[in-house]
Amino acid sequence: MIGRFVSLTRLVIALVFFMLLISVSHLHAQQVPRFDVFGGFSYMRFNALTIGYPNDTNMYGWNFDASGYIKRRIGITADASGNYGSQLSSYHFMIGPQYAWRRPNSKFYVHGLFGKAQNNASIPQPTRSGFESVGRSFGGGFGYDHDWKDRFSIRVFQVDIFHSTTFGKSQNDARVSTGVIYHFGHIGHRRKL
Amino acid sequence: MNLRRNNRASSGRVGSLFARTVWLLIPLFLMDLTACAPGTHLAYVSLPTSNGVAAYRVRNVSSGLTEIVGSPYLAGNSPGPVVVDPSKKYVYVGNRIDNTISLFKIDGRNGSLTEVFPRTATGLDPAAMVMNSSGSLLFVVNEIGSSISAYSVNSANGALSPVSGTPVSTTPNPVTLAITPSSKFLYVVNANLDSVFGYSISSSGALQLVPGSPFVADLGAFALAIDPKEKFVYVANTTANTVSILAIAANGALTQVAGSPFATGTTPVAVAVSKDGQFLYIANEGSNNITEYSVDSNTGFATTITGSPISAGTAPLFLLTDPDGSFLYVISQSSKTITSYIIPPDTGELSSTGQSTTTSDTVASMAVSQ
Repeated sequence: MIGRFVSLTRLVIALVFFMLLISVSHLHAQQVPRFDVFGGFSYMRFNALTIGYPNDTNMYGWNFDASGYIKRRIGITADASGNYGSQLSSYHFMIGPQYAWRRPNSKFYVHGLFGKAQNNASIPQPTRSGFESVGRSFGGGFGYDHDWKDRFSIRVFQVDIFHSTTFGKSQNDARVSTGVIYHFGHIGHRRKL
Repeated sequence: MNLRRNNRASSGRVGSLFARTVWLLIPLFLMDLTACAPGTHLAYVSLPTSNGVAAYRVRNVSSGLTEIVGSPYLAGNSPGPVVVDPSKKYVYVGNRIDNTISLFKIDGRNGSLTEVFPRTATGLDPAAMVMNSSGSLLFVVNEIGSSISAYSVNSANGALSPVSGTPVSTTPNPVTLAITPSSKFLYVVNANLDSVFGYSISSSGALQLVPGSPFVADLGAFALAIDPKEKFVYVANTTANTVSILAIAANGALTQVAGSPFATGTTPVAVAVSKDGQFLYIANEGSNNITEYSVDSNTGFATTITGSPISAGTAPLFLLTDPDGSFLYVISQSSKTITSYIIPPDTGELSSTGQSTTTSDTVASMAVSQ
């Protein structure tokens, strides 16, 4: 299962770079937002098997990200999320390149993310309330946004896979997010999204 | 204009490719998200030099060990014997320098441990512990204190209370003990006398010496195991390099079976019996191997299995079968490893699973949840 997650992660990362390469020859001049700020709900399937739990576990929480576009399709996104489950919590603080494929009222995008993960386990001990570990994390994902109002869009979904190393173990987590995006600034001639 | 159309056409192809990729990936994600974990059980290992107890989740199908988050958990000074209660709620650890017993609660979600204070006082140097099959009584052999402590267990919180009339004094240097599956008899190996003392156990946990005790084994009697069918007692004799097989009488008295003692490798220090009682395994610390026997269920006569002994790393010191009886765990103190072997139910000839876990420190003892 881990091998398949790693393969998927590689596939997503490869997809990001593929789209970046393609984008070079497909620049448009229409106006698009320079900055997107997203906030919403996220679900995470946490790979708890690797730290001794009998099964992977479900977590729920928040996800924020901010994306800035240097070209119509190429940008950088900074992503933060916190997910909480029974006894466990997980935070990700990531940054990476993003490629957007735009339609008149919607947008597909893919991104690669690199950063840190912090995982916590609330297991009371005589001298402490639990255990925490911070380690490197990388991954990638894709999503779909749809226009809602002038400066707002709905993030219909965003799916990410993270490969993190905490508690001395490597694990692969999947996260799905949805929420609202606020746009500001612009690139190119005025056009919707 | 043409350029824009071309760009749009190209973008459409890319979009189509992307959309297909997305739809291709979604089932793969769902497959991973819904994958169920196979059956598991828990293993706890004492680490005396770091005063810790390591916890592992073990895959029933592979015997692979995954260390549980937060492990190892702090115990007392020099933890030695470990016992998991049958309800899988508590772990008891004997602290050999503190002369105490630590009670740990097992977290039902992940198997992690949280110690419950205060620790229970016991005799000097609690070297070995056993629990009866119902989990209502815990027995401790105190090697330096030359005694056996008995405790009743509060099923609500795992707390220990000394049984009236205990500890029971023994002759100097009791080293280990074992209890019969029916919890009728307790056997204690005395290294100084190269023999085994038998005790009958009352419902309250009081101990009564079995008539005829002690029962002679062989030079350097050190380790002990009992046949699951409660017919035989096996004693590894480290000086004589033998295993003594003693038949259990109805009153708990022991007699050597015909042919006993049987030759082992050099310095046998641990004994394990297969779940069906058909096969016997002896860890030889000196010759770095495991001797395998097939035991006649009627006579107790032990026959060496073809292919025996098998190599078992460096200085194997402790043997334990898994709850299903499918695997044998071998602990090596010097190499700090827990290695598992498959127990074939038909031949009993051990074969390596390829699963070996390196522990953070030297291991003294191991117990698994049943």
